[in-house]
Amino acid sequence: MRIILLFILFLSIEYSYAQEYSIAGALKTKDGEAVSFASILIKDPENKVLVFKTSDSNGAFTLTIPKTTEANKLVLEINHLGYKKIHQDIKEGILDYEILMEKQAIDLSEVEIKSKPIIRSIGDTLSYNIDSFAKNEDRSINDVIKRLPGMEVNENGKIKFNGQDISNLYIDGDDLLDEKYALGTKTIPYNMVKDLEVLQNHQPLKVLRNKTLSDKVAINLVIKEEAKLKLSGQAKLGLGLPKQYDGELNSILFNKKYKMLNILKGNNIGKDLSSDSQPAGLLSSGTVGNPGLAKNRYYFNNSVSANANNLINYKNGLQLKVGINMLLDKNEMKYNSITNLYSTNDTIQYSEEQNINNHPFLTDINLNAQFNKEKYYFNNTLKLIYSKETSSSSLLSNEANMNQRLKNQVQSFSNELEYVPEFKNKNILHFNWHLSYSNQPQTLSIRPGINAAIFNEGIPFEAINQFAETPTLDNRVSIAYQLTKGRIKQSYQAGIVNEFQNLNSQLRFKQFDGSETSYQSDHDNDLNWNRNQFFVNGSYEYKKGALESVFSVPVILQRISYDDKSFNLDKSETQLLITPTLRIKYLTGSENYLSFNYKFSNETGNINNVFRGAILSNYRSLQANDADLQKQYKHNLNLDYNFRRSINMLFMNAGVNYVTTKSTTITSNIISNNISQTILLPLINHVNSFNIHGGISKYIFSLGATADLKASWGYTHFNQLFNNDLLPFNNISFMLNPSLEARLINRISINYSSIATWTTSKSETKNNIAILPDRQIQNLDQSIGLTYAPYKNTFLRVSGRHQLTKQPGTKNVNYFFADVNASYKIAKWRTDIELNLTNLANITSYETQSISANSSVYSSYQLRGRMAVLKFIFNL
Amino acid sequence: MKRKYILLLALIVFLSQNLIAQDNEIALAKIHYNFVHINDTTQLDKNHHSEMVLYLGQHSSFYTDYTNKRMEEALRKQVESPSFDGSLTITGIGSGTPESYYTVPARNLLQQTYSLNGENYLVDEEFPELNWKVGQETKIIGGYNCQRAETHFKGRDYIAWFTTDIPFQAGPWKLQGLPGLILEAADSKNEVQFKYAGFDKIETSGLTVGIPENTIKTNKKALTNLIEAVSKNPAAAMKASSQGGGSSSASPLDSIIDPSKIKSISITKDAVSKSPITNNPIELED
Repeated sequence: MRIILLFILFLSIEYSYAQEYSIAGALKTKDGEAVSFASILIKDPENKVLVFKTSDSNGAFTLTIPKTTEANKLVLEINHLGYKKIHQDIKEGILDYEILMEKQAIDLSEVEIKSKPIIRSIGDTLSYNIDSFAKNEDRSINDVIKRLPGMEVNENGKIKFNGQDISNLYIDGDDLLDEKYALGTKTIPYNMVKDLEVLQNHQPLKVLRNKTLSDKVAINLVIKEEAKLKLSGQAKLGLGLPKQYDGELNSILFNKKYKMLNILKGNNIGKDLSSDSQPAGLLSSGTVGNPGLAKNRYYFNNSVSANANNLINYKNGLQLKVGINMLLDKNEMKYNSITNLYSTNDTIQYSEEQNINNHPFLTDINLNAQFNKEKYYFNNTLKLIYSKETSSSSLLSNEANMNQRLKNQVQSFSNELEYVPEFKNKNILHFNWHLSYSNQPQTLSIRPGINAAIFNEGIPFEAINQFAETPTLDNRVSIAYQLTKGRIKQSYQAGIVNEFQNLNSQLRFKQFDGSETSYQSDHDNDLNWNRNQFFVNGSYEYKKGALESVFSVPVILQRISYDDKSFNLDKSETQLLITPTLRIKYLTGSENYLSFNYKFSNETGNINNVFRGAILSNYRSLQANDADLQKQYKHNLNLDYNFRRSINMLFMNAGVNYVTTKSTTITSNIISNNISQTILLPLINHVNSFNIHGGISKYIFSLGATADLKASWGYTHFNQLFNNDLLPFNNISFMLNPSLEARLINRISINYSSIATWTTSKSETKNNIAILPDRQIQNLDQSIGLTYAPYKNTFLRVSGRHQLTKQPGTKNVNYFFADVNASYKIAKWRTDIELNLTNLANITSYETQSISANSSVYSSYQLRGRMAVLKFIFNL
Repeated sequence: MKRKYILLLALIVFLSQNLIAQDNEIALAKIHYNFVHINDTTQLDKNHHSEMVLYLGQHSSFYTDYTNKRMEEALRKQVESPSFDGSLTITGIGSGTPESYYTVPARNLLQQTYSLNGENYLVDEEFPELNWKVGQETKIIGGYNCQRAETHFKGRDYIAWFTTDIPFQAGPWKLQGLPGLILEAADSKNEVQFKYAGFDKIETSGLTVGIPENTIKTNKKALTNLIEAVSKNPAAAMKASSQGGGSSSASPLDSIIDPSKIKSISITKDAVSKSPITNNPIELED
């Protein structure tokens, strides 16, 4: 039966094919000249080619059309380069077509380039053609990098490729800016750059190339020939309401011999000009951190900065580099917060309301000399840092009013010397010497005296003064010998580390009669710390075919001694530490690999874990220690899979990470409404965490869009000792991060990105009863931007950011920020005009909720309100 | 020292093969393909692969290896670098395809050039009349709408994807005769693949489409004999050709490399090299 049916089906197909007919025709120009070898096609209503032919030497053709489609819906198309394209409807019954062809100069302007041979994968180098990714609204190379598939740029300008941080950013092969490369990417105009190259398995030292394995990723910006010739620069001037200014002056020169990038900036519109984060000191002015918003929303500043970066290449291969950075700032921050801490039987609550004025002054100088040759590498870097910051604030905590002043100073000097020669037998010596000195004296003054009950036997007093500093001298010398021949590349290293520290602190309570007393007649800290290490390390690299592996076993003999006479403390300890690491990479294809990392670390505590005298680290936290040196044993396992198809512009990565840590001490928190006392106690503490993460990035050619998706799931188990209760906790978090950048219609493009996180904190059960209720929090943070470019020189951008926080039992926190940005380019005058309207809804305060194991914190910050800035950018 | 010169000479002649003569048609556009040929079915990973380019003119097209161009770029970059100290590192990319094809459909002309030891040999080929069956399936490749077509050619069934969005009627290797540009093609066993790797217009350069200058006209039989001889004893064949006068065509490298500045040349091979045995030629039957 079935066979018969099939047979009938076949017959009917045959029948329909049998119903074919022919059309014929001839192609002629108006002079009667026959047009030969033109491509003649019949297309169906779906624009698909049905049949085709080429015209013969007389311009004639015959086409046989199957009668499957209605003739009236068919289109006759004639293509011949050098002639105008012909579209003609087929009419039923008309079988002869005389077509007049019109000569025309070859014009490919109608042909749209949708996919240039942009990505060229040469071994480990991947190259992006910048012009094909740039859009009119882009200004700096940073704007274009954000759009490249596989690339990720965070707010500070740090770049990741396929989830991995880049190690260097080169400008035509020279690393002008070192780790401050974000300064460059935000300043360099994109149209100076021809290609962006991603250097995978990058080895910056030429002498080590093809000799050691590297998993580093670096970026090289290839500067256009015409841009190398001259000095260029930009002057930017912005003025706005209410009382806003934003100015910048920069000069750029990138040629082979000499490279420079000098920038002078000033603003009070909330742009953060500091390029480094400051080291955290022992003392701070409050317990609340920064809000989870872009800094320019809450940063009330008035900053001026100067950066000078200059590099010279000499003929003999010497490269000299000078980097000087300076920042002067005045900023203000206002917030209030309420913290709830949960223990088994009660809840502790404290509030904090503060208005801080900061006056930082930061300066640093970097001097670098380098020879990077095939036969040797020499590098010496000298770094000097000086910074000073005064913060004063009025603070209200649990109805206690006080004034605070925190003075912070940083002085540091460091010199790093590296020398890597190659011997005649191709083996390599690696010499490293690091010497540094740093100190950060801090003074915290609180007026009037607070917490008299704890500090002063209940008698009111005038003020608290806390001083602390830890001058540190650090010396490290190591020498390594590397054998480059043989199947297994071996390297042996030996070295010493000397660390000398002295922790000085004084906590004083000033009485109304002018006398000063100390805390519970406690002594001041005058702790000497001395750590000496001698280490040897064997490192083995093996590469065969698709397999690469590196194994190393450092063996460290460590002696730590510390003493503080006033506490009768004089201890010393000698330890033997063995900390192996293993890295395996397996290429599963030319563009995909699997990597596995294992690391065991055996860490001992530092000087901050052994001081005995109490230090008031902020107005409500008193810290001291009562334990021996902390020891920590940590296993870290990583498995990652990386996949790319550069020709299809598809990039994927996925991985799992497991970390387990055992510590010999635990932090004990004794917390009351007005003060928290922290002591380190000897008690074994285990922390386990597990994380799965993955990401995919694809450029969709037909849409001209890049789509990204990242997701991660993490689990952490740990203990907290809180008011003498040992509380085990599990934290579970899930994160989803999709983003899309697409061109909707020709002139409109859209970008969207969102981060959704779900965090749950569970305390473990005892006898089937939960000690504390579970706490859950959900955050959704979405950003959307719409860009409209009606003309080549004009563009308009509207962007919005929506934030939602949900926590059972509390009111949802919902925010929507909207900004508008418009710019106009006057090509003739080489000038851009830009208008920025920020925070259209004029949101002036921002509330957040956050949870950690046993606490929940509500904070409210003051924000910058609505702002309008008009900016002129002159290209010099 | 002498060895270095021979190496450099070999490089120069190797790179000089795809010079295109001046009196030909202007190249208007180009399309890149990633070409993969599993030449040894016992060693699938050691296949022949290289990046190819098809230059498109008004009436003609020229299909050739792009690997050399890439290598030339890489070398130029090294030599031009301020830190160039006389040591050249050459990393092999792909296996290099010696055959190039020049096609003029209106004249039913197909010519092959074969690059060997710095010489280009020219052989006339039979113009293939391919009987394409255009299918109904479509897909988007590189942003262009493509339609499926099938044909049987030299013992293999080829599936090609062509577009009429671009006004050229051409394709890679000997595959042509469709009313559009072939962006992707492969045989039914995926043993021969031409994968799309980008399309671009050529607007400024005076690049032309045609047979390279200084080619030596020969016939298929003679060329096959020569290829066999060279593969049996490459050093001898090279020596013979250099003693015989060799090629005199100027190399693009001559202008950028001063041989006296080169101290050492180190060659790193491509991670996966081509199997030396070919048990599965592209053309399975004549």
